[in-house]
Amino acid sequence: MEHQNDFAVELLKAELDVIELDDRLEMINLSASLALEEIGDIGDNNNGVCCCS
Amino acid sequence: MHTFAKWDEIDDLVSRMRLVHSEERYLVIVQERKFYVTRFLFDLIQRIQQTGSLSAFEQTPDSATRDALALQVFERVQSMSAQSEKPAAYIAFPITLLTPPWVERLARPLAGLFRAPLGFWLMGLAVLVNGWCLYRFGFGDAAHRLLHLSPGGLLLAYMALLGGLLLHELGHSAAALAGGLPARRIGAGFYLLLPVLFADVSHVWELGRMRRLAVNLGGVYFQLLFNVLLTAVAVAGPEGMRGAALDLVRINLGIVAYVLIPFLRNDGYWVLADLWDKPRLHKDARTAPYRLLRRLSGRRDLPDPGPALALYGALEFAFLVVTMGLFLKWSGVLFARLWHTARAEGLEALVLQHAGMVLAGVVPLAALVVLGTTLCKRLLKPHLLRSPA
Repeated sequence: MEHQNDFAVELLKAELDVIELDDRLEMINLSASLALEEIGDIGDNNNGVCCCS
Repeated sequence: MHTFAKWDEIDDLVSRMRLVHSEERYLVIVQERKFYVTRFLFDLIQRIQQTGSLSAFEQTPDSATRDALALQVFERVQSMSAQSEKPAAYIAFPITLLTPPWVERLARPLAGLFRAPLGFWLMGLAVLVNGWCLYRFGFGDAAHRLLHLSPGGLLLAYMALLGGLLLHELGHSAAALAGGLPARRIGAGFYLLLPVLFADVSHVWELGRMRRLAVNLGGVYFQLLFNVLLTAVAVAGPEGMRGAALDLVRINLGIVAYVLIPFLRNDGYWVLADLWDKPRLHKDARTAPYRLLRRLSGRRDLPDPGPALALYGALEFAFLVVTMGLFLKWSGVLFARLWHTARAEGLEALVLQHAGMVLAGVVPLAALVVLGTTLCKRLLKPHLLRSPA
């Protein structure tokens, strides 16, 4: 009887799954904006440093 | 078999939980933390809230099964409550720029732009206009031209740029409001090393998948709409403003392209996570390449991530390395330029004549200060200095 109960509880474990969810903070990278003109300028002189990040 | 005796504790913990059923998902909310649970657990918690735990477990065949199941449920609700006590945000040093009432005031009038037929038409129009603008005028050398603006022009360009970014965040918030959710703050902080603006839309988990996608894309949608106005200025506005408006369109498009990259919790990341239905995509992907390699080498002790998740994990890691590398390289070049200009022309000339460069230097400097502070904190933590017992 006890064995049967253990088996039933094992089956139920899957029914008790919990998934923790992340906070959702929709972000935009400020360095992509504040520094854009400098990145462009440096890019001109330094073999094309990325212009978006 | 032990007798379960924590019925009151279960009742107490469960009474603090809020339940939301949205489309195919069952959500449990404890304070600010959110959890997906199975329908079975969801129904059980609901029954406990309605009738108390003793009655809720009445239908189990015998007391031993009842106690064992109650113990399992107790462990789950206790774990959820414990996790709700810990902060989970991944932004370092967050500050609030717009409180929820201000977000409500500014974003509410814009929420109508997400109504079903209107939203689709406007999005289509915005994509077409932006595409035409790019085709007609190309990317050009927008960033370089901005550098040569007068101080007044530079200030105006910055304000327009920051206004566009704030509008991007308001786009996320307005989409959440359109979905019937309350306003939450908009702020700034650091993600990894990078300074970011953010809109808190954590409660978006309460919405169905299509609504979540609207919130994910709300920022890009607003930025493209903003670009439509800028394009109108670039084509038919006052002569002196046309070039700057066109450059802002180009820069906005560059930022849109960046935020749609599906890594590092950009907007594109949430789009992919929702489309793929992987709510913990970042966490699942982090160890996926390692798990796949381990399985391929014959060790099957860890769960199979599948090739797609392993590939995504590897690409995200590569993207992180490249982004950080470019950011550090660019910071180094910028600091060197600041140093040489200050030596050659003096500090006063540097500040007065190269204001844009000084302002741009603030960004990596702040990031490096954050990195340094974090490293110092870690090094000074006593438990990290002790060897494990």
